[in-house]
Amino acid sequence: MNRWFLATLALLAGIGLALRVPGLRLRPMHNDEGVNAMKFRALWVNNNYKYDPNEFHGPTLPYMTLPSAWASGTHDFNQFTETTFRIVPVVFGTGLILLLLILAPDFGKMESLWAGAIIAVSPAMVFYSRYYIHEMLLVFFTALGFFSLWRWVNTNRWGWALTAGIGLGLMAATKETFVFAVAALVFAIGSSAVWSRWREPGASRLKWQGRATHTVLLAATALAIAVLFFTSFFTNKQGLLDAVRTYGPWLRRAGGETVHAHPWPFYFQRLFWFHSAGGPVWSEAFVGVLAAVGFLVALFGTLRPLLRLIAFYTFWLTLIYTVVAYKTPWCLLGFYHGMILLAGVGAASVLRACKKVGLRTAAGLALAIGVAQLGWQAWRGNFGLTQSGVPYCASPKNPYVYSQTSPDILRLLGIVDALAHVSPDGYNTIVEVISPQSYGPLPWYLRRFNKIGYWDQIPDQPLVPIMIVSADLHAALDERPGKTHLMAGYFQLRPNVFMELYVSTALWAEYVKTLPPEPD
Amino acid sequence: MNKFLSLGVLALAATFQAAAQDLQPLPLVLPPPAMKGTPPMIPTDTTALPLNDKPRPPFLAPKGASNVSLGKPVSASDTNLISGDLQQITDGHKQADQENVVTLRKGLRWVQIDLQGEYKLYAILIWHDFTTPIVFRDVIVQVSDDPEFKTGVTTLFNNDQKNSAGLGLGSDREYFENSLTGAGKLIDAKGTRARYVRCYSKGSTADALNTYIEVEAWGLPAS
Repeated sequence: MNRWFLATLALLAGIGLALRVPGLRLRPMHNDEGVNAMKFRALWVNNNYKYDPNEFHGPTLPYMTLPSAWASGTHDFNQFTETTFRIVPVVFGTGLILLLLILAPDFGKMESLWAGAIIAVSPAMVFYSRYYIHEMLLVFFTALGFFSLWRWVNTNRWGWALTAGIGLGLMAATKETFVFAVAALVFAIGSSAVWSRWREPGASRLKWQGRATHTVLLAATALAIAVLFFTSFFTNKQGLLDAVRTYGPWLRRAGGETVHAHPWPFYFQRLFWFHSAGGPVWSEAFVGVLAAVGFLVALFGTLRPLLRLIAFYTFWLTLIYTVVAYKTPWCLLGFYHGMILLAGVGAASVLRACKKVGLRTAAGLALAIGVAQLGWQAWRGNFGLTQSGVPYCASPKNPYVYSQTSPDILRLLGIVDALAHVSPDGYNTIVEVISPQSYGPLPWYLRRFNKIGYWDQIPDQPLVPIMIVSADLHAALDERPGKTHLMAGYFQLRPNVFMELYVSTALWAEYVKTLPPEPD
Repeated sequence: MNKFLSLGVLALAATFQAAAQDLQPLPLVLPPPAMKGTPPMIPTDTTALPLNDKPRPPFLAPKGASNVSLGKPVSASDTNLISGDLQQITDGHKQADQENVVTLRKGLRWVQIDLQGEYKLYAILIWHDFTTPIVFRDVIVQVSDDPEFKTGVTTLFNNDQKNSAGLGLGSDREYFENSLTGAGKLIDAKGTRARYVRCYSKGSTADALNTYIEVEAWGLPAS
């Protein structure tokens, strides 16, 4: 591996970081991010994180957040910010570029660099690298595990078996959908073998060189890693059983018992052509076209087993996610990573096919422009504003925004925080959040309040000073006899989900005193 | 069908209740709805309940209560009107037509009706310009027997939650000028005795101007 290659890959990682790191607090925390942050709170504050087989996915996310929390300079969870959490997927999303170092010897340097460039600037990859959920970690660990597996099979070095075991164990401990990636790999191995026998009957086959001891090492490492995380480092024996039990509820959701059931083109519409009314067109069709070229090269070109394996793996993983009814847009990352690798193959193949220097230069320029327009879309999706001034990172006009917390809720939180400042009880002021639907990420934003309760119905008890109530409940607390409370406003939590803020008139009067006089 | 059924049930309930207390639904005459065609953007920065086209339940008042403000003199904080004539506010014309709209300048403004006698008031109805569903800010309705509103003032409604008018902190909600029903805003006056009715506002979600189409005071002579 030469210096030129390493320097270019490092440059691409730098570009990836430049798009991922700035303004990590711009987008309000999504419900899932808020939940994940509060799960980390259980680990950080009480040291009692336990894997929940029904929800919230695997344990790696909170544990991988520890270094960021340690580096934050404070031990106080309330002082942590969105950046403390979102920097975690940033690291793994950028690390995905560097993982190409493992693959490059067999994958090809040019293929690796084009794939690395696309990972660095792809709108989907950038957007979800700034999203404190499990998906980017899963993609990273999958790449680590599978790339290492390939190297072990080809080199027979125990180090690669060990790394593959670590990757596979971390995959399992990250998200239940790791089984899709494993299934896709198994199908891909079979498909590649069948295809190659048909296409190149006389060609020499890839031979298994792995030793039995290495296999044991790989399996034991994967198992040990999974056991460590699922048992919360041997403090929760139940976690082992839960790691298996989890597939009950998740299988039901995968079958469609969920509000996240979407038709099959869901991922493709978001990736390749997305245009909501009043918004711009978003498209990563450039990657799709190059991936199609790469797919054809892998299947019909000169036999390169790795490319063929990636092509079939991507095909099967895409098919699995397309068939499964449960769809959230970040789930596309797994198979889209495969497409990007194939796009790297496609780009390199196009350049190699251009024998004349001029043609090759033109093709290279066209590819560079294609990558640049991806980067422009990534910038717009994370830092741009809609015509009405709403950040695209929180607007449904962005294909990767899904059930996103509305920036409007920050207005409510600003008032609630100001109420705490004027209340004699400060953050001991009693707050009730009442909603039959998910009220996330309010627990994250209201984390400083020490006396806060969450209800799904209006409790039959005296009203408390601050009450945030779902508009669906038609609470009308301001209409109650005595008029002890006023309704200070509607605030949008998510699309079509509104919350009402009720405040005791006494506390509100104190708050109003702090407001600047209104102009006449 | 369901709407008529609900109305029927409400009317029946109101009749039974009225018979028990010698009350009857106010015979309000509502203007036709105003909004036609594509609705404009509904303002969201408000405490108002969401706009809907459900009819308001009948409002009960003692038998004989009538619109005692009809044709009565109107004064205002702002004599330099942008459009209309103050007397239009009590002329009984409530359609959301531009010729019926009286427009006062921006800022906190009031209009005042002299009922020319003391009345027991049961309801005040206000129609600002309801051509589109907008929300007027700092709506305050007071009644008094003092034309200067220095003594004997009763505040019937106040949604000035930030006390920007300086008339006290309001705890009522804002409301939409309901162009879907033309129902106006009905404020329960609870039988308060008064001669003067004063209505404040401070612009709306549409602009900083203050508009009125009609104000009605429903009551009985205090004597």
